[in-house]
Amino acid sequence: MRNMARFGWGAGLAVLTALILSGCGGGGDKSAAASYSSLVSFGDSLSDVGTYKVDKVALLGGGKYTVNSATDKNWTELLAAQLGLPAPCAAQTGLDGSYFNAAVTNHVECQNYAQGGSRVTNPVGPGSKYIPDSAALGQLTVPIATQINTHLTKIGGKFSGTELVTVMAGGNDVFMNLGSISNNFSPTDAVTAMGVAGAELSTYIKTYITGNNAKKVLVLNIPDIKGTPFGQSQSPATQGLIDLMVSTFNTQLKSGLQGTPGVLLIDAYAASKDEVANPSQYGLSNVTGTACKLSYPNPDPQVNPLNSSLVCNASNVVAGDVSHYLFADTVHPTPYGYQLMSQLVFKELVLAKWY
Amino acid sequence: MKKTMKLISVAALCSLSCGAFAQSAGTWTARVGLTNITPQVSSGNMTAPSFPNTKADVGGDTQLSGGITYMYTDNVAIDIPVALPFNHKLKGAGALAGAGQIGEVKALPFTVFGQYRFNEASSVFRPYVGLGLTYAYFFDESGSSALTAMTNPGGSATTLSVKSKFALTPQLGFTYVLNDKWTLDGSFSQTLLKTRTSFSTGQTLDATLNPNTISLGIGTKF
Repeated sequence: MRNMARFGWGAGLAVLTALILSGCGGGGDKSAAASYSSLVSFGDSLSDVGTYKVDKVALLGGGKYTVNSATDKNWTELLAAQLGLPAPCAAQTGLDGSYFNAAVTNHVECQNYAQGGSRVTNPVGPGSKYIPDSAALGQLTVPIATQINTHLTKIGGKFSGTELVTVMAGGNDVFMNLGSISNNFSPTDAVTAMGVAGAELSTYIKTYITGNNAKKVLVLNIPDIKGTPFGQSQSPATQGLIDLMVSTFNTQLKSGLQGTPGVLLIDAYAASKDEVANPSQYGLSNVTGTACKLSYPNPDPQVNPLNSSLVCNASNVVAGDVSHYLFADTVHPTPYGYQLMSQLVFKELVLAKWY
Repeated sequence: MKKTMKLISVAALCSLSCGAFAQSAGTWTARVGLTNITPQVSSGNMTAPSFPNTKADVGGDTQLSGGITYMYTDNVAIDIPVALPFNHKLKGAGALAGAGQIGEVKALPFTVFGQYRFNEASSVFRPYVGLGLTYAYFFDESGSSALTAMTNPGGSATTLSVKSKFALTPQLGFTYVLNDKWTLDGSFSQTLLKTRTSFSTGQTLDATLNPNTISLGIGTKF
C-alpha cells in the first residue's frame, strides 16, 4: 500500500510537469517590431515640416500647412516622434516671391525634402513664382524627382537600408492640371497627365529609392480631394473630373509599385474618404468647413493674407472649438487630421510588421 | 506514456481497495494542480475615434492552481479554487487582425462554487455539477507600443483598464480516488463574463469573454 501511495504521487507529478511545460508560452513582446536609423521624406505640403517657415510667413505665425502652433505636428513629425527619431527638419528653406522672400538655404543635416506645392516631376507647382497669382509668395516647389536626386547626392548614391522613407505626392499635379484645362488642354488631357504622373512616381520610387537599397519605403496615395472643402465647392461635373484624376493617378501608382519589395502603399484616399463620410467614427466634429478663417473671393490681408493654412494659427481660426475639425484650409488637414493620418500609417506599419 | 499507464493501473487497483478515501460530510480536501483559462471572445467594436471594425481578442493562460473543498453533506460541497494570476495577451482583431499583441492584462478570478457530487461518499469516481459566483479581478493592464502608435502616435503611451466584474460560473467535474491518500480532481467551467476595457485615449471596447476554465489537480484530505 505504501508503494502504491508513492506510485500515485509520482504519476501525479509527471502529469503536473507535463501540464506546466505545455502551459509555458513566450513572454509578451511589447516593443516595436522594427527600428529605423532615420526618417527620409519626399513629398508636398502634406509632409512639409517648414520649408517656408521663413521671413514674413514665420512672422505671421505660420510655416506648415495646418493650424500652426508651438506643438502641432504633421504626420511625418508624428511618425518620427513615435519611432523615437529626432524631429524632422526641412532640408531646404526659403521663399522666392516678390513680397515673401528669404534666401534659399540647404540644410545638409535635414532629411525632410517635402515642400508645399511640389509635384512629381514638374518644377512649377501651386504657390510658385512662375504662376502670376503667387508671384508674391514664391514657393520653391522642388519636384519629388529632384528631391530624391538631392538626397542621393547627399548620401553618395545609396541608402543604408535602415531608413524609413516616406513618399507622398500627386495632389499638386491634380490642382495644376485642373487649372490648366482650356481649349488646348481638355479634361481628358488632364486625366491622362495624372496617369503619367502616377506612373512616373512609381518609376522614381523603384528606380531611385528601392533601386538604391532603400528597404522600407512607405508610399501614400493621393487623398480624396473631391471630399475636401475645395472639392465640395466645385460643380458636380468638376468633382467627378477631380475624382477621376485622383483615381487615375492612384491606379497607376499602385500598378507601378505592385510587387516591389520594400514598398508599403497606404491607401490615404480610402481613409480620407471614409473620414468625410463617417466623421463620428473618427471623432471629427466638422468635415466640411475650414478651421482657418478664410475670405472669398479675396483674402483679407488683416486675417489671412494667403487664404492658406500656411499662415494659420490660433489667432486666425474661426470661432468655436476647431480641435476636431478635419480641414485647416480648403485642402490641408488640421493637427487632428494629421493625427488620424498618422494613426492610419501606424496601423498599416503594424499590420505589415514594419513597426 | 508509461507513467500514464501506471497511473491507470494504480487507479484500477484503487477501485478495488482504496475505499479509505471517502468524501463524506465534514471532510476537507485540499488540492494542487494546473488551471487553463481560455476566453471565448466575442468582441464589440472600439468606440470612436477608431478605425471601423476595430476589435480585440484575448489569449489564454495556464497557471499553477489549487483549491479547497468542504463536504457540507455527503453530496453537497463548497469548493474554492485558488490560482496564481493569469496573464492574458490582448491581440488586435477585426480591422486590427494580424496586428499582434496590443496589450496585456493579469486576471485573478475569485470563485466560490456550490457543488453536487454524485454517487456514494466512498465511491471511487464521483462526477459533480457546480455553480459558482466569480469575481473576475483584472489588474496590471498594459498597452503595447503598437497600441500607442495606432491610437496616439507621437504622444504619451496609451494605457488601458479592464473592468473587474461579478459573473456566474457553471461547472462540470469529477473526482477520482487514486489511493488511500490522493484523489484526482478535474473540472470544466465557463464564466459568463462580459466586460468593458477603457483606453486612456478615450475609447471603450465591450467584449464577451466567457472564459473556459479547465482544472486538473490532485488532492488530499486534511
